Amino acid sequence: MNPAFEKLNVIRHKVIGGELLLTGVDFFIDWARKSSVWPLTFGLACCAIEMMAAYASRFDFDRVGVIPRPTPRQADLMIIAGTVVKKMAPAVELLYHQMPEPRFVISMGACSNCGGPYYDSYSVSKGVDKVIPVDVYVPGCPPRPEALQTAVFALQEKIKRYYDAGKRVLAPTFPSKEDLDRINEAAILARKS
Amino acid sequence: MFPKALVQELVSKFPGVQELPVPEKFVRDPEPQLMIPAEQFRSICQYLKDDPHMKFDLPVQMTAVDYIKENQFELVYYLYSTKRKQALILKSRIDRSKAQFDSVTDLWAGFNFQEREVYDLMGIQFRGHPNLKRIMMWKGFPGYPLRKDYVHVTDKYDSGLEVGTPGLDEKGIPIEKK
Repeated sequence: MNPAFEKLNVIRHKVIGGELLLTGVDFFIDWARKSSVWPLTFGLACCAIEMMAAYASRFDFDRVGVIPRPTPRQADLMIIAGTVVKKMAPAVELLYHQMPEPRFVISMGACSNCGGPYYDSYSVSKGVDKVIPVDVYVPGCPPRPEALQTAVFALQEKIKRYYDAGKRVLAPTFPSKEDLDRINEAAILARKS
Repeated sequence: MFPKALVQELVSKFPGVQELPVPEKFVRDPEPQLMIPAEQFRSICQYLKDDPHMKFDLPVQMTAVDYIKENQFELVYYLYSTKRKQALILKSRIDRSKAQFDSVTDLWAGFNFQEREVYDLMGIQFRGHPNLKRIMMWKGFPGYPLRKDYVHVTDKYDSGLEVGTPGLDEKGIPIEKK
C-alpha cells in the first residue's frame, strides 16, 4: 500500500487481485488538481530567471507536478514573475481570462506584489492585484526558487482546503514564519554546498 | 588627442557655432562639444555628413536634457566619423515652451527611433520626422514623463478602483465585436 494514500479521505476495499479505493468526487478532483498545477510559461522580468531555476534540475518543479504549459488554454496557474508595466497589464489580464477555470495566480516578487522599487514610476502598476485576483504572494526581490516552491505548496494546501471549506474562494495566503525560516535555512545550505 | 583643428574649422566656417569647455581633467579622451543655434543645426549636420573631409557617418546616440530653471531643452547628438576616427558632440538649445526642432532622421536613419523616444518622453516635436509617434508609452498617455514638471495622473493600475481593460468585457472579448 502506498503510504501516500494513508492520509487521504478514502475507504479501502480488498478485492481479488488488489485493492479498491472509494472516495468522493470533489475530494478526488481537488486531490488530482493540487497534484498537477500546470503553470503558464510566462515571465516578465528578472524574477523569471529564478522561476526558470525552480523549473530546472536543481529544484525540480516536476516532482510536485508543476509542468510549464505553452498555452493559457492548458494552464491552471499563472506565475506573475516580474514587473507588471501598465502597457503589459491588459495582456496579463487577457491571458488570465483565456485560462480555463479553476485558475490560480501566484504573484512573485516585490514588483508584482506592490510595484516594488518602481512604486513611484509612471509606467509600472502598483501590484498585479490591481489587474487580476491573486492567490499567493511571494515576498523577495527576487525570491529564491525555494520561496516559489513554498508558494506552490501553499497553493496546493489552498486547493486542498476547497473541499473542506466547501467554497471556491479563500483569502490570499502568505508563507508562515516557519516556512520563511525553512527557506532561509535551505538557502544557507545551498550557498554552502 | 583633442582635435583642435576640427573645432576651429567648424567655428570659423559657421559663425553661430561656439565651442563648449570640455573637462579634460576628468575625461581621458574628451570629445569636442559644440553648441549650435537651432536654426543652423540641420545645415551643419548636412555639412558634417556630406563633406568628404568630414564624413561623420555613424549616428551613435541622441538624447535631450530638461533645464527647467533656464526654461530650455538641450538636445545632444553624438556623432562618429569612421574616416577620421573621431567623435563629435553637438548640442543645441531650444525654448521650452515651443519645443520644436529639426529632425535629422533623413540624414542618419539611425536617429529615427531615438528622436521618437525623445518625443515620447520629453515632448519635443521633430519637424520633418517621417513617423513621429510614441514609441514606448502607449497611445493616449497623458503628458511627457521625463519632463521635470511632469505630474503623474493616477490611473486604474495605480489605484485598483476600476479593474478591467477599456474595450474588453469581463470575459476578455473586445466589445466592438459584439
